Amino acid sequence: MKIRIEKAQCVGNARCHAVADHLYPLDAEGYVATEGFEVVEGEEKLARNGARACPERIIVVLDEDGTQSWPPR
Amino acid sequence: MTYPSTLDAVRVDHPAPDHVPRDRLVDIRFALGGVPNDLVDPYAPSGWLSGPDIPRLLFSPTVPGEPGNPFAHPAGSWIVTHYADIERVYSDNELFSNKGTAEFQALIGETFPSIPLAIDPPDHHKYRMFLMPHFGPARLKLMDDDMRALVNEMIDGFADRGEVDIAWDFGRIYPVRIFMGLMGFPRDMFDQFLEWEWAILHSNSFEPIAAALRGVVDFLRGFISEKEKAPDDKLVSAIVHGTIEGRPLTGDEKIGIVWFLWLGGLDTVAATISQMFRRMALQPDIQDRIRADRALIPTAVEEFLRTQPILSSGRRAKQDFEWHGQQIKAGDSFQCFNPGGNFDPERFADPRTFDPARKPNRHMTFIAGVHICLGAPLARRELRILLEEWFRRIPAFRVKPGADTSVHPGLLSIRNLPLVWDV
Repeated sequence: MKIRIEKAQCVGNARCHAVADHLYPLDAEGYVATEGFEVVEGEEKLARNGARACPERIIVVLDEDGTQSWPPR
Repeated sequence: MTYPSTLDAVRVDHPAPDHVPRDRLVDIRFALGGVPNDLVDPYAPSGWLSGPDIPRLLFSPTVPGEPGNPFAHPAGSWIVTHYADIERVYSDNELFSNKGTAEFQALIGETFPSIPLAIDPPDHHKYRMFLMPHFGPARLKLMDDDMRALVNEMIDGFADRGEVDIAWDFGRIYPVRIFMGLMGFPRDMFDQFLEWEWAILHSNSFEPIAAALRGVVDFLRGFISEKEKAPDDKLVSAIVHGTIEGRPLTGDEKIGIVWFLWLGGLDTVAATISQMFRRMALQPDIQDRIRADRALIPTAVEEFLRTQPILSSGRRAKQDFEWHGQQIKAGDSFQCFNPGGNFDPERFADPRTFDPARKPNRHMTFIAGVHICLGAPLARRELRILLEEWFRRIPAFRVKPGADTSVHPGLLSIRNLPLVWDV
């Protein structure tokens, strides 16, 4: 599972960070500091919850087979 | 007091648009915060509205012959009471629009929009980008010491007395002082601001609302022009002198933003604080658990927020579509019922149990989607710091014997709530 973040679209709500601060670090201004990552085993649920928490829906969850499972298209 | 507890008990037969089935027409004003109650969980009477057997879309027609809320949609509104549906209304920007929401200023002939609330994506994005740095975690961290100092200064005033009116003498003041400091508003406007806000949000009648709107908008326009001439390091000045996409803000943008922050900044946290302390006073095991383990405070704050959805929001349909087998028409009004979402058994296990450790806890109290409350990080911080200092300094507390503990389960909330403790 992969997370891809449309970083330039981040407005700094920081809800992803509130759910999983180590997966979704913030920069000094409070915007998300990563463009995405490969989710390590055991953290799938946390990564997904962080993605779902984004009010702007700019955090994309890509499953193993490459399909986008969040946000709904 | 008895409350309706079945759909049949709230059905009505008022006129409604032709595409709305007659069996969906309801009057759920009992659940909308207008009627006070004295329950430990004041939102309990409306709990059944998000039950699995309740139709996913209800419709609240305008009640004939009743003036009601001057801002209600004249044709009535769809009522959305389940978590998944509320989430969709707040988040699906293709189908739902926020144009016109909370635009009280239209009542006095003003045409500027409330920014960013009443702006749809994609335009919404640039306003949010412009404002969020002032409300994000990095900026707020700098305010921690001031907030903590203010809480302690206020607690100093009553700790030894063993008594405080937590609603009137604390909740009403603390968040508003922080907000006014952040914005750079003169402190001597405190009483006038609250008086105007009360008239706009709670008087429900045209004359006082219009007079208060005139007062606020004139004051804010004057304040903006003052800051244009004499900048300072506060937020109104930053807005007035800021740039969006490389250009200065227009006059409508300045007043639209400052007005909307003014409206949103005053009594939301106040209502939350009063209800939070009421709940802890009436259910002392919550106090005991937090006092025994103060690391619970951040999740406890979320649980207070979940169980006290002080307001709900609405949207308009942008196009015709079908939803849950119902025909929806472009322009239809949707009112979400946040208590339904926050207590939806499909989403939250044991929804009526107050669990200070509940996690995850993605409630609807700050709304959801792109219009999620801009001040949410500030509100969370205010509440967390308050609880940290309160539990450090004040022992077990209870409601002063004989005091009225009734509450409006909504923004109107509680005027007075005297608490006492042993000194």
